[in-house]
Amino acid sequence: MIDPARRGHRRACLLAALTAGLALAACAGATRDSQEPIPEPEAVFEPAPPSLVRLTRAQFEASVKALLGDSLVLPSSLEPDTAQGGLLALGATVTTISPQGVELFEKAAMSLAAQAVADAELRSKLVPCDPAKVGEAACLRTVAESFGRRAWRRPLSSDEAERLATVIGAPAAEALDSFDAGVTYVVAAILQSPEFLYRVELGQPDPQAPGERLLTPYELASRLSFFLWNQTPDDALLDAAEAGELDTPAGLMTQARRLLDSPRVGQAIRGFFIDWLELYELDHMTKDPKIYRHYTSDLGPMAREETLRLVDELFVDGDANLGEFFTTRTAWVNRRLAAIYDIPAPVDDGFGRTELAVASQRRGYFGQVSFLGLHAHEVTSSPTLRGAFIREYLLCEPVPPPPSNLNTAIPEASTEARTLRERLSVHMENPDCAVCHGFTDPLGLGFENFDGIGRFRVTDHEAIIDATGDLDGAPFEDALQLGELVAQSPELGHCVVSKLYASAVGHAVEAGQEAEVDALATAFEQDGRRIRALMEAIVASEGFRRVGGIQ
Amino acid sequence: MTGPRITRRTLLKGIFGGAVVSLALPPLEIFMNSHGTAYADEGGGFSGFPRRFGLFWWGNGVLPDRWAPLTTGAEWEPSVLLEPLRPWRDRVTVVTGTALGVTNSRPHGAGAAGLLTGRELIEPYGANTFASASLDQVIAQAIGDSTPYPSLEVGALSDDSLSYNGPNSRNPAESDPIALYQRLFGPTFTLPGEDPIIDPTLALRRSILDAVSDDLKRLQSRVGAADKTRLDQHFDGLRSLEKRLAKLEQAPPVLAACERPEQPLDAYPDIEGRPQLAAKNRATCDIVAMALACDLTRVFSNWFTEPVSNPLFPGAPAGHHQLTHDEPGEQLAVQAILVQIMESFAYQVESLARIEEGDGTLLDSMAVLGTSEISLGKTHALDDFPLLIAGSAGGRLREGIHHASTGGEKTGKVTLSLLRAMGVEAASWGDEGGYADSGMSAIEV
Repeated sequence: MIDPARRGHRRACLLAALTAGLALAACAGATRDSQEPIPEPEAVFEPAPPSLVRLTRAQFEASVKALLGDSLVLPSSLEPDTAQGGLLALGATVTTISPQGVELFEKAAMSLAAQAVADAELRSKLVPCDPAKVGEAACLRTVAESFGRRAWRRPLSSDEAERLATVIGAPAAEALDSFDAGVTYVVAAILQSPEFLYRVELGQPDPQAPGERLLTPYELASRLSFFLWNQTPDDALLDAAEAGELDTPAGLMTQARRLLDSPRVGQAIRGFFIDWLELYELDHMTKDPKIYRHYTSDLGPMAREETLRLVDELFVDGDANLGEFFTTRTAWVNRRLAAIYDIPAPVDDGFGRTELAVASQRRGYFGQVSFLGLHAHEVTSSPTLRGAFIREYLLCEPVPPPPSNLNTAIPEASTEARTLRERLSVHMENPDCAVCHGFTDPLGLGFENFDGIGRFRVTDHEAIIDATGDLDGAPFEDALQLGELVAQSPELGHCVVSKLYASAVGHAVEAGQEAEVDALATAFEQDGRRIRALMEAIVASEGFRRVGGIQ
Repeated sequence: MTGPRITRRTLLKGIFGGAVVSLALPPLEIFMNSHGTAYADEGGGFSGFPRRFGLFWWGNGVLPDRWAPLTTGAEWEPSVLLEPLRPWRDRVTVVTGTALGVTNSRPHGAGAAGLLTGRELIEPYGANTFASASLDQVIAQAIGDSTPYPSLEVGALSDDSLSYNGPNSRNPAESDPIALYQRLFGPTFTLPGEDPIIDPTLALRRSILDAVSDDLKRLQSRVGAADKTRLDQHFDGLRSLEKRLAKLEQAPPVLAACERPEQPLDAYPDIEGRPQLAAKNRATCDIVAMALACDLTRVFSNWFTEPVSNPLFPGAPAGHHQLTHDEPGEQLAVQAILVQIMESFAYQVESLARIEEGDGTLLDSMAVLGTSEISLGKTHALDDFPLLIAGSAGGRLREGIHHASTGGEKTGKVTLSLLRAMGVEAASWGDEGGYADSGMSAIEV
């Protein structure tokens, strides 16, 4: 059961601790033990004002492939994504396109358009008319209308189509003496337009409710497709929008279920886990190979694939409880990862499915390089990084920054303090440190049986590792029990619901949507924490179809 | 495959054994007036070449107790950390003892915002960003308009730059030397004296950019205030690209120092898990120097490493950021890393000082600010801030001195001196704790 009041209490306590320098251990204890009645916030839904959502790199790539063809060679360099509030999906609602980004998008658009037109099969889909029969001008206009509708996710106005055909297409066809050049330039212009690069979800006045705004049918189709497929809508969805089928909740849900039943939903679910768990950072994971002989620069991408194979099995092909992701004995590994984990390697090259031993401390995501290696240093493990990641990313509990002008050095390993737990004890003894490290380190220390790349170990500097601790008062003996505690915690469920909701609607959860998100979280818990059911519930929520006034 | 190309620079290197030389070459024609003499500066001071600005940034601060030169004034005696700058101490001014003045609200982030904007870090939804454009972009707005690239952002480690056009509007850094080379000196580059490119597709591409700009303006009329600003920034990029394409159709400027730089390697893979920061920086600095000599840009920022970055430097027992916090005692491993960083800064200076321009070198027209986001890494301190300035900005700044500021003067005073030396008419810099309304006269001419 989710108790939003309790969560509110924890937030308030965190803030108080931050400003007053109180030890956070008190906060953590209060969260689970407090019996104080705290009044429920009034459950009045209020949508956030709309903002343009820039396509993420993954969305750009998936969309141009869907629009033009799977065989296209994608640009090697594009404007990078930036995270906000822990999500690239939210960064996309505030970042701009830099001058260099404009240059890269222009180059990409020209290249992609030229590739598509040069390929006879792809060209035939792009050009649904014969210029010899209908005339070049008319055919260019048809291209602008048909491709423009799919790329801009709405029908083009007559002016827009006319401009593309006459200002861009016809002069190009004439200057380069080729009708196909005209098509190339029309397609390139459509792909560079802000109407393609940003999702425009501004809404229109709701005829049923004066003063409120609803997404237009095409905007709703776009939001639905980017949420459930992480790419641009297909023709069937745009047709449904045009036919008014999305105007009713039932019609919207029919389309939502169609998208959820398609294999493409895997692209969105994978994309969400990549974003939520910062799996994109694995591209930059480095380790000192003198210390971690299993490290090579391609380990990070392999580890991401390992995590995503598990996501596929549990949530794309299966419909598992979210908790299983953290506790399952199922593992997808290749030979390199199997060597790190000391488990039997798959017989074939590539990834294979295996079961981790019952006696093993290794389970699910918490046993993977994607967690253990990414949230560690180049040369050592890091209970602080691992603990802070669990707090901030998995439980959505912000960790305050260290106070300024604080000496942050920890003692070197010595005969008195050999393990990291012993060396980090300074964090607990100094009240300035304990204010945050009391919140992060105990969780991270639970995973100290795994070194900085994720290999299991019993000792650190020849001392036996003590991996015991407690999660906000609930004790654990080792990584296995800690994993179970995190996996079962209501904060985890609420956190994933808020993150997925924020990704879907393009803004962080604010006061006006908290009650709705709490209700979604409660339903998520009661429904066995199934990701696809949650996605469906988010589509059915008020926040999915409503936007606030433009500010 | 032809044999190794002998450029003027390699020839000079051969003759002088890599020593820095300053040969008199004809001044650049485009910067000459009709009488064949160099344009006079509005202020009547030395001029002749455009003012140019550079920023060299490293993450994670310094060790202030081993940073300040041992003597003040000219011919300063290098500290252990500044030893790599000994050959350049007549060109590098060191300012010590200033304080950033902004609230240290978030380790690293607050200092970065404080130095680059003079303002507090802002944190909408918990994400750090700057309240206003960063120093390099403020300067680019003033002096970057006439070149194909208003500014260049480069780096040795990643694309994380702190060059901002405004809140959330970041200019990513190009950290792949070959991509930087292709962007600036690829097929679209023409050398002085070569014919401009005749390519009918250039006009067609520009007409797309026109149409896209129209789409953008129409969209802008429908969105909220924040989105309008975002689209303005997008529009600036479209306009910049359009101008760049137009320039390709014009004859390139006649610039004596301009030549195609050496092509960098296709890749600089990590060696033993350690990025090749020094080698990448050398390649990048050489390309950037030639971009300045060819007047492709007048403003660059080199994000050698970023705040909180944790690369393994050669010889270091752990990543840089981790060491600044976890290394006990004297932090000799951090010290060794900082010496390596100063070697890379020295190369940045050298790359500019060995390109002859008029009676001097490229460095004469420049000011290159070398700095970080904090002073002492271990405590994230914002006082006794590390500041290096190479070049005199065309005789406007005092070169080659160590100025030890006292009395808690604001770092922003140095920033204001730099801005004014670059021709930015600024009455003040920053606000609140970071505010400064007078320059640092000790470094001004």
